[in-house]
Amino acid sequence: MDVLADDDDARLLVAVGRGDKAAFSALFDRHQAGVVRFCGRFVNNTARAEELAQDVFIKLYKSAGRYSPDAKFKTFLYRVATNHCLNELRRFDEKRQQEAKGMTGDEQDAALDVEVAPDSPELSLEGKQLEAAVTAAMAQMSARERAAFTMCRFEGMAYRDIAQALESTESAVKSLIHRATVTVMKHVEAWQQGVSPTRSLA
Amino acid sequence: MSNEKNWQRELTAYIDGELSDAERAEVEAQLAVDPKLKALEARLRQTVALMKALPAPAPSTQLKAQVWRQLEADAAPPGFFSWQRAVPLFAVAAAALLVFVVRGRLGGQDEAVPAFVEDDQVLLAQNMDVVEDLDLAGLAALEDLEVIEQLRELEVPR
Repeated sequence: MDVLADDDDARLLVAVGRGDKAAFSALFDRHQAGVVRFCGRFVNNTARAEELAQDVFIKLYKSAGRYSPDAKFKTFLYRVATNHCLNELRRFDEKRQQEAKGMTGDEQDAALDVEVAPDSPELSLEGKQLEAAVTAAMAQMSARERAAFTMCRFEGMAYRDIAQALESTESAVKSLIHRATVTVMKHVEAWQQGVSPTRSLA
Repeated sequence: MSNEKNWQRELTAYIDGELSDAERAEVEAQLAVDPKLKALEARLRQTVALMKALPAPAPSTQLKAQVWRQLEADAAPPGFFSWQRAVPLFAVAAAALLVFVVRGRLGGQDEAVPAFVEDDQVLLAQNMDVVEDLDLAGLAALEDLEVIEQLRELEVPR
């Protein structure tokens, strides 16, 4: 499948592979917000989002010469981002396990805490509580559920493209997104009702 | 139970507009006869709508500049100026200058070098031809050659 005919971003990436810096700049401007948001959601840590997004764009630039336009640009970009974030999570888990060996029980609990909702002054109290509920729900998801959910709900990607980005099948992605959406639904409803959610399906 | 779970999974895909016409018709037929599924549809739709209402964080204005800086640093050729490489060069220059100044004060005569000059500094200054071996000094860029040339102009005695 040659996507160059109807994917302007794919054409830009091919140009980047030939050393066109203006093309890279245009791609960056179009996709930086999405990549930062994706990375933040994926690792459940907005503070690390920009650092990870920076790595993703650097990898994109360096791999542009090897890009073969048989997948949409956005699919290619989010495959790079997913792999990078997965590696980051693995490294983080290994480091955390190493650090936890020398900790007391309370210290381990503190280290295992994921980020609560980011402190965004522009959010209303209700918005912050909703963000906290979504963040808590995403902390319970598997890495692939989180990736699929983020691409679907926040980046508006189709199941087929998500499947390509995750190197999976549409059927598997359908399951991932359903489970993740139900998890979030339960957390949001629990927040609305003031009770603790459970992980089981509805 | 497993059948019900399958309907739930299809329901999420239905809400996301990811089903074929035939699959969509099946789900709609099931929704018409299954009030629990219909209730779940409403809950899922509300959740999906709330996700769209969440604000997206705006990337910092420095992100692009940071990416370019990193790319330029990664692309720098071997021998490109860096402090790590420059420190030994400055040490050589300082030692040579010190010997030059000391000899100037002593009238250019071959008196013994004062005690406050370290032996290794003297040794270094007297062996500039060895230091000029760029591989040994870890130097390769044109800027480095210019500095070496300036050291030579100091006419450090060998």
